[in-house]
Amino acid sequence: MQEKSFSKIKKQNPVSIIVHSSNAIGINLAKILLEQGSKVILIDKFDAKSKDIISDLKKIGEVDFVDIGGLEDLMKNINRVDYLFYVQSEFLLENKTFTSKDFLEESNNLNLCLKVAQKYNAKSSLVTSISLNEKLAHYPDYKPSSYSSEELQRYSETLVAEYHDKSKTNVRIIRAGAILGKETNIENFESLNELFEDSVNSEAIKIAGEGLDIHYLIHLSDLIYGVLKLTFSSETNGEVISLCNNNEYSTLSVAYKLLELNPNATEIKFVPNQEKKKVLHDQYIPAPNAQEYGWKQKKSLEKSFAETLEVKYEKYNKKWEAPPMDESVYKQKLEEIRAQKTSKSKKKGNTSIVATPTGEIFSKAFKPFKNINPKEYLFSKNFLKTLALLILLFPLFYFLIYPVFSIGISSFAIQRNASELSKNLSNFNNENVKNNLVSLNKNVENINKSFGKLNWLFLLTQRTDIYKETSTLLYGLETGSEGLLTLAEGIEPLITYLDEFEPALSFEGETSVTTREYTGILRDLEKNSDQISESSYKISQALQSIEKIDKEVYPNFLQEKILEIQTATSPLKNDISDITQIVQFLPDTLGVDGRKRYLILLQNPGELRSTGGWISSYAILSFEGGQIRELKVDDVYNLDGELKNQGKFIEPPSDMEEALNVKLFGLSLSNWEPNFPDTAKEAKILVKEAGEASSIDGVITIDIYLLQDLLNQWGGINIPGERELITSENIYEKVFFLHGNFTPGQSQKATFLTKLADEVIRRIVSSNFEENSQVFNSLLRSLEKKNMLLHFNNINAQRYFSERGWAGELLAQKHNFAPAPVEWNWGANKANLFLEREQRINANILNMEEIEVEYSLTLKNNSTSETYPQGDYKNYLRLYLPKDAEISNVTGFNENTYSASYKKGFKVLEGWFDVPTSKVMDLEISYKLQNTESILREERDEIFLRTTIFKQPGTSDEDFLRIDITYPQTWAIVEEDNFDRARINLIKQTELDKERNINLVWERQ
Amino acid sequence: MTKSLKITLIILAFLTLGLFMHFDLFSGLPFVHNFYENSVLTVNTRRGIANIYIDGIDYGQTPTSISNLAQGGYTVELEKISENPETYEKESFYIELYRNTEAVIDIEIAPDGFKSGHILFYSPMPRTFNQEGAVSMRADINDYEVLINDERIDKDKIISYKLEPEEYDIKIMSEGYESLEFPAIVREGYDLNIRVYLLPIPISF
Repeated sequence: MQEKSFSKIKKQNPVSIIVHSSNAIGINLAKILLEQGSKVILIDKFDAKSKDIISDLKKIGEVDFVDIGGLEDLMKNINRVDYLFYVQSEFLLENKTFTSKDFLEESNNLNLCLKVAQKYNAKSSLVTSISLNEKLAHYPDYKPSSYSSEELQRYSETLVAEYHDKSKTNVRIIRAGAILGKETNIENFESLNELFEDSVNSEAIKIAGEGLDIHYLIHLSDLIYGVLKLTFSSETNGEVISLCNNNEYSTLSVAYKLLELNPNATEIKFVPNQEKKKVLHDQYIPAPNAQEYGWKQKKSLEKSFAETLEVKYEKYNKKWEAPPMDESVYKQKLEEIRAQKTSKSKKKGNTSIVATPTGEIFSKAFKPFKNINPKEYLFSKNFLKTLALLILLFPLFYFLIYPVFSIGISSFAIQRNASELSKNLSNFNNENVKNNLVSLNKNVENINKSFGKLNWLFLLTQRTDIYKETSTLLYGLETGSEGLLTLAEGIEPLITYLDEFEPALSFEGETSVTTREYTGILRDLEKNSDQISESSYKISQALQSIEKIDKEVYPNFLQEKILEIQTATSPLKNDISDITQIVQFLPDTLGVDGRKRYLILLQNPGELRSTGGWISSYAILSFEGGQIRELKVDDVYNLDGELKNQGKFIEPPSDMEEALNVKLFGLSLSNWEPNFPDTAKEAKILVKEAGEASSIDGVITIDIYLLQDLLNQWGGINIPGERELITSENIYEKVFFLHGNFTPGQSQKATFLTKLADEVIRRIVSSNFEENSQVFNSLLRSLEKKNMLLHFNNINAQRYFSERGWAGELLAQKHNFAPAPVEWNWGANKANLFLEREQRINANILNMEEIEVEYSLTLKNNSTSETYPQGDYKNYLRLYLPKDAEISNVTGFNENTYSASYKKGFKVLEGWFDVPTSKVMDLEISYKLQNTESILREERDEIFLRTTIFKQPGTSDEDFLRIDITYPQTWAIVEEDNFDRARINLIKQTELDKERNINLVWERQ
Repeated sequence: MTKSLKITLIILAFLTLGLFMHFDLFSGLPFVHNFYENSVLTVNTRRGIANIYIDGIDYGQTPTSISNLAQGGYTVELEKISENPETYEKESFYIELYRNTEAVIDIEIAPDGFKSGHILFYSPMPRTFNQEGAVSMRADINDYEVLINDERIDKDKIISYKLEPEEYDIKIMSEGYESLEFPAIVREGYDLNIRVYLLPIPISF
């Protein structure tokens, strides 16, 4: 080598020296360095075999070869060194023992190199062997000779350490693992080599002992990359580093890996350990792995093994189906081999297991775990740390994170659900309503459960009161939503019935439209009545809980929210109670057990009679199996005429005969009794007597105001055969004009009313929910205003209507205070259309036992002529007073003539109280009540007054009512029921558009 | 395993657990669902036996105890076995069962739709820090008197009426009706729902 050549090195090209370079490590290092533009000086003993390598390297870049004998000269002459790679490992592994001369020469060479490296501040690495270091670690069990490779390695490493410590030489010790790969020779690693040899040449891989001794392995390319990376890194200066795969491989795991690669051997055979080495793998702790300095293993163990096996097969000229060297294809091949091995016993024909797309996804997902040995991981510190962390985190999760997360999600879901629910309710979509309620219930339940888990928070902050009230609220909401869901399921048959109902009859006498009947649905509804009743109870329990919540424990902004909930849920109670009660009687009243017939009476309030007006027409409506099976509409005179024709002359009630001097009773006069159930009874008898129906199961009165209200809702309806639209304005004229011109036997009016009924029912059935809810509201208004009265034989139905004041009852227990006036227009005109009415009640409560009452009734007849329908109001008046009323004054009856009697628990004053055209007439009564038990009640220093002011059906909604109540000075009013208060007086002025309930409460002062 | 992977796995594990808990998915797991279907219904008909149908499915005859029922509402129909079946109506009761509770139907089916007896079932009550249970009672008539361990209690107050958890002797009386007496166990955290049916005393001429 020319000395000059070293002085001509370009500044930009680094100089790298590789000592002991004629091995796989040195050559591959040189290749890479040359490729990167470094000048490389290789130092070793070169022979004829090295020629090819030398010529190959020279093609790549600027390279010099120096025999190791000339190392001293080189080191003296060289004027620059950037990198020094002292690759001692292969040299040591190949020469197990040395002469003292060789030992000294090698140590001198290293010393010279380090000096130069120190001089030129070169980055240096000493590459030694892990396996030799491991042997030294087992001292004193293992004692190498003084000039052994182990001792030389120890000496070299100590020298390097001294250079670093004393002269700050930039140097590191890299201990390499057993090198695998094509260009390597594993024969230096005896036990590892035996495994590979067996796998190629034997049928079984023999393992001496238990096979637990550990191998530190690395692929050649990973080693080269590692040596370069570690040398270049300044972090590794002065460090001792193990350069091998981070996983430790036992002999047994190596053997299994080899079997997976389908070599000649097919099994593992354990043989006794003849050498009886006391080598315990866990005694040796290798130096920190190169991974800690950023090195990464790139070649998989499988590939390293495959390459090494290939070398072995070549050595013995044997054939082996080597896996392809492309990583991905290789892996796939390996998977196939694995699959074949595992399914060997099950494999049939040419089938094989291949990766599916899903498998690929899983494979990718679990990629991070592939390098984890579960057995090792389970007992590792890492796992225990993770486990401890999980155990610590779980209570935090369970008692805080999860409840808060769950409450948040559920609250959001409830909000969304509630708006959907109200939409579905208004669309009458029961299926969706049920789905909403299921979801609502589930979410409320979740909130309730989660809230329970947060109880510690309230204990800690000592706000158990908030916890208690909130729990009650959540309980109420959960129970309520459960109840609503149960209710929605229970009333499903009812919804189906209302949705699917189609009348079977065309009331004009045409053929049946449908044969559909609804017995099954009604039976289901009947069966569900207990479920509906349960749900109602549950809802009432829930509402009671919500009502009881003490808002005061909450902060102000929450108090408003609670109040909102209380206000929103409160009306449910009555609605649910209504549904529950209706379901109890609806199937029966719709004829689930057989035909049910109802008598409908059309009353004309223009000619006022006891229950609302003169009966002009009637209808018989029959239901069977939920289907309308019969509807007959006729004029009342036809039925009365039929009675006469049949020779049935029925006597009127005696008091009627006496009052009106009538001798013959008929349907048109059947509403003499002001208590509608009594009138209904009379009417039923008359209809049966006339042979119109074998039995009547209920009686309904309607008046023209109800029809007008319905027509107002619809804006009028077209009736076939009528030239004009029938509206609220012309219906009265149409119905009663026809009746005015009626002669028995005529059918003109009946035809009109039949068509009207037909159209009304058709309209209701074909209307959507919103339109029908308007109709429903009209009916409710009519019931409240007594434009419609109901009486049913079904006890539950009758009780339901009676409780709501829709049964037209006049009851002594209820109407127990003020007189109930019942008028009867006997003037054969419609004077009531021109009448104004005013009632004044002046009550003086003297004490708990005595009440003085002054009552006046003023009637003003606005008729301006005697011509029909106007005229004098010929009025037979009955005043129903409490039976114990001690009357002190009565004025106003015609000629002050009246009679008094006791009827149905009342004291009745009756006589003519006529009002001539354009006149105003007054009637006054004064009386004292000394039996006030049913009116006044005292409980715990509180005095309750309960009474009802009677409204005669058919009277105007605009009738004036004034009530003045004076009470003792020792009483203080607590609940004034919308009365105006003036010292010890209560005053109320109102229209008597419906019966007025009075509920007053005082406190004793 | 890298730290970030570990954290991701822990978060994922808790998220999965949270979702399972939130949507109650554990109840659908094999074996676990047994813990969710552990309600018991005992049905007895006094003075006679009856066929039992629960939600339309034949469950044999009284007396019987049906276990492993899931939480929820059931329609229990009792059809008295008699030589004159037309004398007796098929009685239908809606009962709600809650997890880990027992319900009792103990009824005498009398002719013409009359019945006597009681139904007991538990429902959860609002959570408190007190160890208490409650009783709610209702009857098929309005006027009746209630004695709990011989102490007269205003019937209108027996809606979630708080009691110590233990066994009580319940007695219901009403003029013109046969009295009823039966034991009932009040459980902590539960409202014991009692439905009572009283039989009118036949009038003899």
